[in-house]
This record gives sequence, C-alpha cells and structure tokens, in this order.
Amino acid sequence: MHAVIRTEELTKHFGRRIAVDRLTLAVEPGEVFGLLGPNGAGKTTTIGMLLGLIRPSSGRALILGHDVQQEPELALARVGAMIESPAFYPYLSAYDNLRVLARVGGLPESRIDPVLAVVELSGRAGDPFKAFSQGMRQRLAIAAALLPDPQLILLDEPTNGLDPAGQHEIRDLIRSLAAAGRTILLSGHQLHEIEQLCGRVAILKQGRLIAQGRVAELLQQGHRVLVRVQGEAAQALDILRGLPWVAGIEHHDRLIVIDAPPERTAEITAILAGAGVAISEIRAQSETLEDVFLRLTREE
Amino acid sequence: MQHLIAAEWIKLTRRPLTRILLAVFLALLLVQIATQYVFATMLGGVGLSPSLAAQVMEYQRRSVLPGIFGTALGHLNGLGGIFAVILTAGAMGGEYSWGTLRTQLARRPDRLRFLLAKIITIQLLLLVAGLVSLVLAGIIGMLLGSLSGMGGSLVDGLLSLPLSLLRAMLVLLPYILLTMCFTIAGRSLLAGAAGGLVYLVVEGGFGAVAAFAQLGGLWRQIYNLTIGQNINTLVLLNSHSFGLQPEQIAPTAFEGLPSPWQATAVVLLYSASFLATAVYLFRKRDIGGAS
Repeated sequence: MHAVIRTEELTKHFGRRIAVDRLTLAVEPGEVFGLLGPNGAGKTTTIGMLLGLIRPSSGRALILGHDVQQEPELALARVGAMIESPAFYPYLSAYDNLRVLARVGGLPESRIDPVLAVVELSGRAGDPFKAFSQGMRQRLAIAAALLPDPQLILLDEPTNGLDPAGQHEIRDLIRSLAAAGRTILLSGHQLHEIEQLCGRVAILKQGRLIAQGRVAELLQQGHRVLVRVQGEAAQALDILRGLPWVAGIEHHDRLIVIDAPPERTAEITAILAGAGVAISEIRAQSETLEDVFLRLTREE
Repeated sequence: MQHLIAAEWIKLTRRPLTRILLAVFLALLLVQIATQYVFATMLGGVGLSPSLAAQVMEYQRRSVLPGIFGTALGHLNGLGGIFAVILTAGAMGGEYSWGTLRTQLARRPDRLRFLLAKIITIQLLLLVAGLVSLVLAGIIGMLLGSLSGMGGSLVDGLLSLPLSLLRAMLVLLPYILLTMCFTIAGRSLLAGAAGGLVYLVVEGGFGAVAAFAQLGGLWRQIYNLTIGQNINTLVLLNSHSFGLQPEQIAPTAFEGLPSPWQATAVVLLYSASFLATAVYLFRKRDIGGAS
C-alpha cells in the first residue's frame, strides 16, 4: 500500500534562503502525523508544496502515489486542507462560502449540510463569515477541508488563536476524524496538542528534518534523573561527571539534573551514598515532547 | 469550467463592491443623459453658430432613440472602463488579500482554468451591466422622445445592438486583462487598480507619440498601433451604428483613425498578449498566505 504522503528530498529556496531542505518523510494511511517546528521552520512551506501551491526547487512530493506537480488533479482529489488562518469571503455566508468551494472542486452541494453538521455550524449556516468568532472560523475551515470527503487532511496550526475551550473542541474534532480512519497531517507548535493527538512526528528546524519517529520513542530518548542533595552539590557533581554513562549534567543550587537512563537511578544512589553524599530526593523523570523539542532545536 | 464560472458568479454578484459599482455606473448614466437633454433643450432653437447648432443636434440625438443606445454603450466604454478596472482588481486582488486563492487552488489546482473562469465571469457581469444600461436607456429614450417629439422607434436601434454590444465588450477586454496582469504581479487589489487606472490615463494622450502623429506617415502608423486609437475606432463605429456623429463635437479626436479591421485585430492582439502574461505569471508564482 502507498504511503499517503511521501516526500523525497523536497527542497524549496526563496531566493538565497532555504525554506525546506531535502525533506524526506512518509505518512502512512490512517495515522495522525505531527509536523513540528518553531516559526519559520518550513512547516507551512512544506504543506504549500504538498498542496501544489508552492513549486519545489527540487525533490518531489507524492500524495496517494501521485506526484503533486505532475498529476495534481489525481494527487489532490481526496485531500482536504486548512492552511494557517481560515480564509473565506467575509461577505458570504458560511453556506455560500462552502458552495463556492464545492463548485470550484466540482463537488455536489449535498456535501455541504453534512460537513456543517460535523463542525456543529448548521444553525449558523446563513450567517456571514465576517460575523463569526475565531472558533467558528476555525470550525468552518475544517468543514471546508471535509468537503471532498478526504482521505488525507492537512491541518496547519488548527487551534491557532483559540481560547482553551475552543482548542479542546478542535482537538476533539480531530480525534473523531482520526477515529473515522482519515489520515491527518497536523502542523503546529502547540506541543502538548501534538503529543496528545499524534502517533508520529517530524521535527523541522530551519527547513531541515532534525528528528522523526513515534512520539513514545522520542520521549524515551530523553529520560533524566533528578537528584537533590542535602549539602553542597560540588562533591556530587565531581563524582557524577566522572561516570561514563552520564551524557550531560545541570544543577540549580542543590538540585542536579542528570542526562542518564532511569535504570541507573539505584546505581547513582549507591555511588553517591558510598562517597558520603547525603541525598534527600532521587527520581527518574521523563521528558515531555516540549522538552524533547526544545532540546533538539537548541542542539542543532 | 462551468462549475468554476458558477463559483465566480456567486463571489462577484454577492459582493457589495460589485453592487455599488453597478449602482454608481447606472446613476452616472442617468446624469449624463439628463445633462445632454437639458443642454440640448435649453440651447435648441436659439440663433446658434453652425458648429454649436451641430453640437446641440448631436446631444438631442444622444438623448432619444436610437442614439441613446450609443450613449449607453459610450458610457460603458468610457466610465465603464474605469469600473471594469476596479471590478477586475477587486475580483482578483480580494483573493490574495483574503487568502482565498490558496483554499481554492488546493481544491482545484488547474490555474489556467481558474483564471479563465474569472475573466469570463467578469466579462459576463459587464455584459449584464451593459444590458441593464441599454434597457434603462431604452426606456428613458422613449420617454424623452415622446416629450420632445423627436427620435425614432425602439426597433430602429435593436438590430444594431448585438454587434455593438459585442464591440463594447471587446473594447473593455484589454483593460480587464491588463488589470489582471498588474493584480497578479502585485498580488493585490491596489496594484491592479493602480496599474489599470494609470494605464487608462497614460494611453489617453500617449504624449509625444500623439504629437508626432500629426506629421503623418510612419508616425501616424505607429500611433495607430496604440490601444487607445484602435479602441476609438470601435467606439466611433458604435456611435455611427445608432446615428450619432461624435466627430461634430470633437472633430480632431477622430481624425486618421485605423480601419475597423485593424482596430479589431490590434485590440485582440493586445488582449492575447495581456492574457498570456497574466496566465504565465499566475501559473509560475507560488501562492502564499493572506496579505
């Protein structure tokens, strides 16, 4: 079976600036895939290239096995997208905005009512877009993405600008779409959101892919051991820095944060106790996706 | 293609800008007809110089049937040109400023058909505006004709209308396409409107070329390759179709015009080159977010 999205050495230059640099990734059917990165990392440019809106400088993007540049109609027939902020005609009603999109896509108007119902906007279908709150605009954008009954949905920062209740609503909606078997590419920098929703992620920095994998695997890479000593930390630091399996060490007053596997916790306790260092607390701590993201984007 | 035209039709006809432009366009047509009629009525019959008498006669013909159809089409090709520029710049520029272009092109990636549908719909809308103004002019022409006891019957003008309306649409086409080029190049309504309107103003004179044209020969031939001169031929043909003689009001403006065949060919050639440029720019450029 084809990957739903496959990019091969996908690259985009804007003048001398490289927005996306030889990006190779694959998104499998039915998964919710996160595209992470700080502002300017190349997420929106990547989505633009996947949708044929931005021409790659080199490399290629395939959707459902079809090259987006060579066979755009085939590649994008069952793709729904919401790119950055919701974009609609302010003077048209929600219904008419979707009617325009249905006609542009050659889709039957009978698709409009069901998608408005999915995003719970049926009661406001006749209201002009300019009268909508930010949350309603985001939901209408998701309704527009659902119009072609898509196999693949690209959502670029779908909860941007929403209050916590609105974010929760959209996340529930994304979960229900994923549960219905649709493949979703979710881009953003709301890390807790990506952590909650995505099975796999790719992390971009300055257009380059710096990490890719299952969220659980990425989190496992970043285990730390926290030690709080009773006296001065200097002696403990000297001992710990001499251990070969300690990858890094930080300390804040009496709290020492050691980059080390959690199974070494007992060993650390024994070594420090043997050297006469009094320990008031020791525990293994897993990184959040935010920690992983910050560590990786700082390291590179 | 018809799906795309239907989508464009919804966007354009529901847009407040379109309705405002149409209302102002029709209001100004009424003002023009009323001014001509009042001018002709006030001055008519008094001892006038031959040239002024000819002007009065021309204004009388413009206010009643069938000449009033010429007035309406002249209005469409004059002031209507400015409105067409604003309408076109708004239709395309709005897509860039609202970010709606990317939503639609992500749905239907064939940019050529998207652009053609937009241009066809703008022309259709201008055709409707032309038809509405002709109906309005026809009604007023009948009223003023019965008031003044002048003018012919409605049928006198009707036979000439289809070809004249087609000519009027052809006259607007290069401005629409040129405005489209500017809008796409500048990715904004402002760039399109400014480009189109500046061109309308600049081509009115073509400064030095117009002056050199008085020397005749090659200079005249060069001048007759400008859009404005060829459009003047088509506009004059439309006036003649309804018995008008604008040469009597501005004799020098219509001297040495190109032939109707040349005019049609040159206007089509300009339109084709503007269309090719617009298509090239639109297909080549990346589509970003809202601006």
